[in-house]
Amino acid sequence: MRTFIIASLMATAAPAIAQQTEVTVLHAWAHHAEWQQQLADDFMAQNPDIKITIQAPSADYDEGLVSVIRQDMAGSAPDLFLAGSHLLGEVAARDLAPPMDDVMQGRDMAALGYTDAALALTQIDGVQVGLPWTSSTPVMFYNAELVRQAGGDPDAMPTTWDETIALAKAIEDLGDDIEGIYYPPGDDDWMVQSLLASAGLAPIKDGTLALETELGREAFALYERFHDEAGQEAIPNAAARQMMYAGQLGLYFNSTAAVRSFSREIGDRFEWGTAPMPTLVEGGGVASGGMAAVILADDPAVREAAMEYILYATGPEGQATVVQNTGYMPVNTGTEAILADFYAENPAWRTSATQMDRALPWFTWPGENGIRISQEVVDALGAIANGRQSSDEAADRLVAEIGRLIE
Amino acid sequence: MTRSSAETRARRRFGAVLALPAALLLLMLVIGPSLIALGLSVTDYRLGMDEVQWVGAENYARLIDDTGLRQSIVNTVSFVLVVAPLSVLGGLWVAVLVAGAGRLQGLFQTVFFLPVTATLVAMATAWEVVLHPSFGMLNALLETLGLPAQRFLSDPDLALWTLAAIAVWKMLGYNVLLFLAGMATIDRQLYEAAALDGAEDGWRRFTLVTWPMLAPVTLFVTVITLIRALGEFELVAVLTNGGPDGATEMVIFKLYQEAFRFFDIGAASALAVVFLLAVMVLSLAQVTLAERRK
Repeated sequence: MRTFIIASLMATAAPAIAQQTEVTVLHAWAHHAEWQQQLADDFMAQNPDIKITIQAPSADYDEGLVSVIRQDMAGSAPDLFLAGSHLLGEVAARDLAPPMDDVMQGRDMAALGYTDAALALTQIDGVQVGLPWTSSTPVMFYNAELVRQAGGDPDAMPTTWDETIALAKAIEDLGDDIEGIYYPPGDDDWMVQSLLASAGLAPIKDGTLALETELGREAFALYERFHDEAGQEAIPNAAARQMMYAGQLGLYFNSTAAVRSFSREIGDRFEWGTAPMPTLVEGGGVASGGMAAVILADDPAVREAAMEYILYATGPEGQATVVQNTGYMPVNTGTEAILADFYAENPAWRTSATQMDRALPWFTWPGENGIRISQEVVDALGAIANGRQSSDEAADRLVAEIGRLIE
Repeated sequence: MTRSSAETRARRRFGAVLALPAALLLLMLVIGPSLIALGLSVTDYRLGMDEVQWVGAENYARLIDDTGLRQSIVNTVSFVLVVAPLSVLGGLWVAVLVAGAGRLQGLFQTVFFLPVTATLVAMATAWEVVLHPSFGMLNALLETLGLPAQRFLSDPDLALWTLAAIAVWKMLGYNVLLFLAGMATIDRQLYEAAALDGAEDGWRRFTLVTWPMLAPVTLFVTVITLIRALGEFELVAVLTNGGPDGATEMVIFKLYQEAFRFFDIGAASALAVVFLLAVMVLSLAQVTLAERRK
């Protein structure tokens, strides 16, 4: 199809081809390559004067950033970089991307479907560094059959952590081969942000670490309770995912972006679904995350072309493609209408959107050591899971380490 | 006199010209970067940032003070101390057995060499199946024997040793091959002479002939194995990512993390310098010992 379009364009509109603007794009995650390419193909079919070239994807968000820094030093950075939103601070600190003021000028972003809240997710110190490309919150995945066997109701999943832990314990007790719960430690501190959010807390508020407060400690200690009270095993995330797919795990927590994988891996073998994240306190929230599109190019023509592409991909049509291929939530208010039928048939995709009104932004640590702090958090969870430190000891250690790293 | 010294000089000049390309490449690709690393190790340079400050020996002090960095060094030393003896002595043992295997020698050689040729990244998937905490083959075996199941890659007390076992599996075949090659060069007459002197049984032939004659190969194999174990990266990156709680962090993996995840080029360079020194000491030791034997 694409070749056909290009070929027919070559035949009819040769002069237009001569003025084609090329935009190179770098995104993370190899398993996203297919839908990223589809977005580009759909866009190019409508905009023959712009050519989108997608580079080989980086393995994860961190490596994507490293790659961009290195390419920037060599003067060959991609024009458009799809960064993990939590890394925007690193992008801004290195002046990799000019602010988006020039390309946003004269565009009514609200009318295009971008709420102020959505735009704020990708600002650093009030400067629009990027635009949200995808958006997600964590959700609770459950094996409906195990939930029923344990006396739960898949249509009315628990909404508090206490009830959730009780249900997990009941599932755990079903048999030796069955695990009740797996709350992954994650690759960065996002899963802990999510626990804190369930108590309505951000990792730092008004200069105080959540882990220094009583409520923050209680939220952090949930991870220990999953192990102590509901029998969570200290196994790698990948191993837990395999158990979930094999029908041996009751409750599992992760980004809604994994919904598509669940649907593909489990198929019709057993009934499963997603439910909103439980809360620790009344009105507790959820963490949110996603990708941000950052224009690195300096050339005004390329910047404009890149903006056109962003507006397509994050617009209703592009987001519909993203949502159906992943499980991400639309970042654009116009998408809901297009996806009404899809959501009605696939309720597992819809859960994340229902909790968006209580989502906290993806928290970024101040200073230059954000990624290191994230790793400290993951390590602390490892210590708790393996019974090497109690939740309180691990929290003490984190408070000391984080204090040292953000000074 | 003058003529011959002119000739010598011409020969020397020609020799220098011949050595120049390789020397230049070494300078550009090995010595230059090493010096740059040495220079960066006394700064607080962060990847992609403009400001650089001199911090003196601070990064080196961190190798001792910083729990994470120190743990990576301790882990690497423990790993090397387990992996090197097992894969060198194991390699020798297997080589002697394979050499005596008669017609099956080719088969055994292939079997033991397979792990060397297999891409570890692909084999890691196989290892994950074998080591899976709930439905792995190894745990199934343990349970049949009435032993408790283990979390091989996620138990901090076990993870490093699991990686060590896989490293031995990976390096053994390479060492077997080197030892077999070394044994092929041993003069048959030595065994006959030993037999005439009454060394009839295998053990005495081994201690009298094979082992002493293999000394140069053993030295080489030992140094290569030490350096390879010291520089282990793949296993950590593919199977554990340094976890749980830093239990499998090793120097080269930590170096990569510091440089390309945390952008802390200073600390990474300090680690690189320490690693380089260790490799240099080992290489010099090998050269000196080998020279002395001659």
